Amino acid sequence: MNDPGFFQSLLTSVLMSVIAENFVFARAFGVTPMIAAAKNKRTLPGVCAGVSYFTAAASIAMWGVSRLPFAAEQDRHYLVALYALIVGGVYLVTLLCAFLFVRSKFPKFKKYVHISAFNSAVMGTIFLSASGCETFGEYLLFGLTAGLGFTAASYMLSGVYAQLYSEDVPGAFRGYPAVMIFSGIMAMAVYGILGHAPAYI
Amino acid sequence: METAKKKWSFSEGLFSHNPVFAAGMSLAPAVIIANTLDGAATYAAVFASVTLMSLLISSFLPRKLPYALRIVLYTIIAAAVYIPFCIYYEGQLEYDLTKLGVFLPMIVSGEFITRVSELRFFRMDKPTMILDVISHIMGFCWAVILLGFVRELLSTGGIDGTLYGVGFTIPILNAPCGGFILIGLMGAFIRSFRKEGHNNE
Repeated sequence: MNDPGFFQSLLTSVLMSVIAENFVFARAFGVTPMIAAAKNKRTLPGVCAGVSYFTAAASIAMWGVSRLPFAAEQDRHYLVALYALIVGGVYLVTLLCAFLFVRSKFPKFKKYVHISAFNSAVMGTIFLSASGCETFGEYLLFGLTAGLGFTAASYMLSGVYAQLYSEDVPGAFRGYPAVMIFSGIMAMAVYGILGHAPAYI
Repeated sequence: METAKKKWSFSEGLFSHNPVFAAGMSLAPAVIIANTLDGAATYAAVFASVTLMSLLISSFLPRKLPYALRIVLYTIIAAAVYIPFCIYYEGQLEYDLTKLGVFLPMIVSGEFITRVSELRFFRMDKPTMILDVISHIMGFCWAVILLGFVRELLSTGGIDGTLYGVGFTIPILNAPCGGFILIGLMGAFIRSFRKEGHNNE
């Protein structure tokens, strides 16, 4: 832990995943929840925390499953069912824990869980971590940085959200088309840093 | 004050509520995969088969089941439907499905299955639901195929290696940023077209 190389590589990984390989702008994962999160500044931290929790939890669950002997032997087609079970399992366990331990806030909590669990950011984390990570630390870091990338993108969009939906924008472009063009410009910036699109296989 | 109930129309999913250009659904494959005509058409074929069949089967699940459980079951049903379709298409198509990376299996947790099913499709009576699902799936398919065609033609100057005399190319259209920007422009085009239609009425 005292090795400066460890912190250097940690910082590089975090910066790479937040900026150059940003989950939303470079990989186009989680665009819909990002738009939903950026819409309301009061719910923004909750949605970002929810998505980050699910990317990290799903990645850890994926690490656990990858240790099981049968997972390595399965045909890649059948693994899809396993991945769907992982997301479903994490989602149900989270709801159950919330119901048992924070029952008074459960109705409010439930909304964040629903919006954060089933989206391409979480599913993308599972698939990409399964193909690119080996140790527990790698899985955990990948899950956390995926959520961090989503959070960074959501806060960036939130900063200009009111302008993109304002009366000053021509009617045809106002709202969703403007958000897409904003995302395109941000994607162009991160593409310029990396110089190529990240791998998806 | 009596408000007129909006009449359902088959063209909603194709144009005014187009999943990609208007509603912001399933954007990840539209941005990443739809940069070649072949890739986009292959993805559209698998997407249409898996989504239609999954939604038809899922629509028979009893509404009495808790929401959280229903969503998980929808994903598991989609995964079960995905496996045979994927194996079938691998045998039938010349295109290598592994080129579509993680986006192909991510159909099982897509917004059509986990979000729009509950918010829109399953609130309709069954015949309308089937037509609405078909209309949205067709809307998604034409959107990604058009994106694939335009992006491949303008970024390489041809389709599948055959040149069509395009005098200039924009290679960046092949990257995610090109996908985002084209979706934004098409969204604005559809919206301005709709406004003209409303004005003419």
